[in-house]
Amino acid sequence: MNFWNDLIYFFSFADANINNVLLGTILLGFTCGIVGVLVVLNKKALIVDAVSHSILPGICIGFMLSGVKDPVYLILGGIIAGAISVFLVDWITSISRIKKDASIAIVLSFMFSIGVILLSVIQESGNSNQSGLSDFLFGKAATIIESDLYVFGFLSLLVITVIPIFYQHFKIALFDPNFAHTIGLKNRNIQILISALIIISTAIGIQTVGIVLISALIITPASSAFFWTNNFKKSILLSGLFAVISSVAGVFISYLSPLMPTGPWIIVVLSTIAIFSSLFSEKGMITKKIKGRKNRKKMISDNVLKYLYRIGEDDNTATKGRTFDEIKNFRSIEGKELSEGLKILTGKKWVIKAGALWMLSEQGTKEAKRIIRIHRLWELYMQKFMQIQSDHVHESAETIEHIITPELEKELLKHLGKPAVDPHQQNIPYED
Amino acid sequence: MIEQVENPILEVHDLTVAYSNKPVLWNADFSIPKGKMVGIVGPNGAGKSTLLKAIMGLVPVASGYSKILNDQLKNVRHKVAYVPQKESVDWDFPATVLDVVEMGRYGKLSLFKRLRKEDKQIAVEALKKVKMLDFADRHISELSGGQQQRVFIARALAQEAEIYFMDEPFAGVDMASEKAIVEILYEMQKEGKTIFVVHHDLQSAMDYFDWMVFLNTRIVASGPTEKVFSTETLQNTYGGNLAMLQQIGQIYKEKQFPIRESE
Repeated sequence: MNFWNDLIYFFSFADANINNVLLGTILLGFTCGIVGVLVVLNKKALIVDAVSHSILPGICIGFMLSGVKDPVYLILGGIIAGAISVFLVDWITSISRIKKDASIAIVLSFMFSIGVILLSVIQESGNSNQSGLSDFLFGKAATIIESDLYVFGFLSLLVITVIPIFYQHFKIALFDPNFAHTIGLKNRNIQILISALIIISTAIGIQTVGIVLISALIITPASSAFFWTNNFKKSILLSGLFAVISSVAGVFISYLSPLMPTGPWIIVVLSTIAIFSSLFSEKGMITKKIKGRKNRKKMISDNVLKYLYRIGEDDNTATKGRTFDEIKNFRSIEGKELSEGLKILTGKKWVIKAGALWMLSEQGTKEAKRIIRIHRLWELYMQKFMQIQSDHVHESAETIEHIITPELEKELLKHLGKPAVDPHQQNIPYED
Repeated sequence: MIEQVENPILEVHDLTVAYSNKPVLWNADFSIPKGKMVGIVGPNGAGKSTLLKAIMGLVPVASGYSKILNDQLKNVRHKVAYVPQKESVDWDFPATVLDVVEMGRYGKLSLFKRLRKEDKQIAVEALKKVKMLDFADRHISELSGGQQQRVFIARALAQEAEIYFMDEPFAGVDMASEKAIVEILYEMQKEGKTIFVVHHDLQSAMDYFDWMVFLNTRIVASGPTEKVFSTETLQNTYGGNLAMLQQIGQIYKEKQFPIRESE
């Protein structure tokens, strides 16, 4: 099959051109991904957009001064323009009543306009080298060549080494700047360092995804990573990994069909990862739903088990077989829920079906006793230690009985001794 | 009444702080002896947190200075621990309870170094003291307000300081947690630490603290609780002439009257 051949060829690393593109996008993606964690935790997501749009005039001026499309000049121009934009945003907020978000919008559009104007000036000038300069808008990953790699590689490695060196600084200052200050950290310097990292990674990152999409390459992987981990270090690594995976996928897709743009595909894959994370990670929406369903199932099956035992509890016929309707009429439980509960319980072999009768197995009896025991112990505990009237304890015990662990049960028994009856004078069933 | 002391652990001299030209702290001048449990009380907006922040160098000072252990803060940082208001941080930050407490060790250690075994042990001990060891590996967003506060106090304990500044450690904390925190503070005091607490409840302040600072833009009183806690002090702090000032402020505002004639 054609696809498999392409896949094998792509990942055999036999093609030097593909390798350059791949290595470049991986490096840039990883750099942007790890910086993204600092950006998001520093609540600076918007500034990335200001920086990226401001880089355009910098690149243009870099080109105008050098007259060639040398990556060193272009990136240097971009970095200087990015730094100017960060300075402008802060300066406007400090001298006026304009708030930061408005200030960012003003700087972003002003600088970008200058960039677009300069771009047309360059195009008018007829310099034959200028073709491809406008690729910076949407990225041009497919055209990364070896000489580009040296420049990007150097800057990427710079960023990648700075972050572990200042790891503790970032962690403490980003979590609690006031505390950081009191132990002698210079918050201002840390902010400057983070801004520098943002500017550098933005300036090199636009190579792959372009000015318009770069903020996604920085912000999205970090935002996805926070769904999976509560650890600062792991979120940095995971964010980098997400960005790398998307970059490789984007390059591969545009290799398969050369008409497809690399940058936008990188972002589409990245966004898919983000959506997936928000749904299926442990903190995700679907995961929570599944948990809720599992809890409901446990409640239903626990209740059915309990009813089956309770029907014959008083006359010691708890293990006798019962018909469906007998169980259903014992407590008002819906037929649908009862069938569902019985199905789960027979699956666990806690309930055995004999003809039209349902009866508890030995294991089922043991489990039913445990649930009822916990219910009644808890009622007693509430009455004795929480001073709650005995006619108010049942509701809470109804839910508690599903979640108390064997350890907590032991704890309860330690507090209560081994009481014979609950507040309603019903026997508490023990194992022995 | 402001009782000045010999060899104070904290000396605040004519400290004035202004936010955009509006003074929030006027000529604060007082001193605190070592080993005391000190409560700073005063109405909302009296400048309690500002006083703490000014001492910790977190806000610029218009005039005056403060000295800790007869030295500038920057020379004695490792002997000072600060507990900010718990609302001042984002509790969604990716860190566990133990991570936060371990940050306390970096006050003594270079930030470029890894924590040693003994540092980790100290952090664990601090968590044990505030009865949060069972939560060591939990994400900080899973904690209740009282637990968050205890984590902050554990971080301060891990700093092994001489003097502790705490900004509203009892705000948004349930009664049981408040009692637990007070017990921890008494424990610390027994070990000879000085504790300086911003507090908003007068009733309990009288029980908790053996030295009190009454503040309302200026220092109204500072001294041993039994000496300074009086109706007169309370009136000066919470009512009286300041209500007058407020009324005058209201008139200024309603009439759009200039504050100074020359304007």
